[in-house]
Amino acid sequence: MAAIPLLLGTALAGFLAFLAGIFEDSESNAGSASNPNSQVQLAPQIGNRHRYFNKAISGEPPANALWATTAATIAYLLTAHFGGDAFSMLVASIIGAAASTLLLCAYGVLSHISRIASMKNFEQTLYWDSLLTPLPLDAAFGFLTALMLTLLAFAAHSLLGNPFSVPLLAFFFGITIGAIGSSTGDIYYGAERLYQHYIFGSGIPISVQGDIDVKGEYGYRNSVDTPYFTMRFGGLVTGLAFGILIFLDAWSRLFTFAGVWTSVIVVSVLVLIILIFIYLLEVYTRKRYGRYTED
Amino acid sequence: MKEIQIHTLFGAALLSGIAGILLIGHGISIGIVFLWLPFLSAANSVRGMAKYGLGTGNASIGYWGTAVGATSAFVSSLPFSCRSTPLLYVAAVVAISLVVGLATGVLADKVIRMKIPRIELNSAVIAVSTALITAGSLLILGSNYGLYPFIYIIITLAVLHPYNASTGAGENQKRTLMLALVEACMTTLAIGIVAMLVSGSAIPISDVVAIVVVSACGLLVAVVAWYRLVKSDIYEIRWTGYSPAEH
Repeated sequence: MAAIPLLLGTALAGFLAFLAGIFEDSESNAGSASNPNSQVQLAPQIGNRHRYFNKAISGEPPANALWATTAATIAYLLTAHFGGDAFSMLVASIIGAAASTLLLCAYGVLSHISRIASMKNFEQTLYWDSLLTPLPLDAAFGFLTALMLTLLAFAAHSLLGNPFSVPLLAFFFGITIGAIGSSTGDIYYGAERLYQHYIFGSGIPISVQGDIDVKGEYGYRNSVDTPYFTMRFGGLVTGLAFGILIFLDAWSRLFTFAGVWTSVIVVSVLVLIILIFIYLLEVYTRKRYGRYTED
Repeated sequence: MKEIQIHTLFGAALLSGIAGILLIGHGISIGIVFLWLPFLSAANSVRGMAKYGLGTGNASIGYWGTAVGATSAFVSSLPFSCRSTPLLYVAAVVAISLVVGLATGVLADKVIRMKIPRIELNSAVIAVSTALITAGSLLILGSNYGLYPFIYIIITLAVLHPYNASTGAGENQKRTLMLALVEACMTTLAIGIVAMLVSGSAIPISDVVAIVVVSACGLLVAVVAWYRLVKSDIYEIRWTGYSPAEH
């Protein structure tokens, strides 16, 4: 029987990771980061002048690593000043996440303005309102992501007994969540939402890249509506993927049947089960839907 | 318009970076201003490599180069003390980052065959420049291992972001480098603020306050200069509206 802090830590880590996934995907979609970023960037070049917020900071992994690491570093340093109990961790994490949100806003504004300044040939106007309206929303999601990842790093370090320091754990979590968000969640925005006038699931051939929807259900599309749409599927799927990853990884701490090798054995078995499941799913899908056809 | 050459900017950044580290090492913390030039040099080399249509590879170049640079600075701080023997430390940082940066560039060119012109030179420039910045940051923040991820990632973003943010047909070196200066000031400001929180900091609190004040002033000046360039480059700035062609 595992100790209570370990069980509690496993549940808490999975829960925090699930929430972090939802917030991270919404944050990246509110700012058209990573994959959608290229689509929005290409749009004016083929005559689709838009009103999206194009937050070209970098790929999602390094950007999220920066928000999470900054928040966790500040929280880690402040916790020592505040006394080190659970309450001080929570307060320090909130202050750290708020500080990293300021950095996110600064980078977001600099990126959006710079990208549009480089679009002079294609007559793309800088509309202040299409930057300043989604920015607080983006910042709010960014704050929540950084907060969840910082709390997750504290949970992994103190409850689960992870040997790495809190900022290093937050760095790993930031890179991981960015990779999952950009591979899992963004497809829904970058390949479906922006290309809603093409047949669902048809992908984005090179010939249609940049031909995005600039108008929506009512008037011009903006980046505030985007997370409202993507949270119904892309955000939850990102949360599910990251949540399962962290939750299953925490299992390696619950057992002690083979000494120090326990975690290696547990994680290897889990990876094997997941691989078999994915293989069977792909075989089933290929049999069920057949080859891709032009029409 | 004539562009600044990689060699010129790197030479200036190398001298400026070494001067900055020695000044900070001797207790003159506002020597941090000399670390801004290495940011420009590294961002310029990211631009030099990513300009050949790398697109999403832009970020990868940033963190590959900074990984080499930051690791060189971290490794050099193990045998050589950055406080008691600053000259030896700087020499080790420059030598290790130059060799490893060149080696990774040659590997990327000859083994992986990435076919990017001048990849060896640019990768060495990014490595040395970021190594100098990391060494300066270590002098301010002290050798606390818990802070290494923060030092690494905040320098990475400041180096890869200027070109990534300015990408487009109307991009030019002047505006990209000005954005690099804005982000260099922002980064030293953030490092200064974090240094305030470090208990038993490597340098006295008055010096840290000086770093924060100098960085904030630099940030203000750089943002104004960058926004002027934006206004001269941009098609049109409006509070709100729609594309005129469609309404």
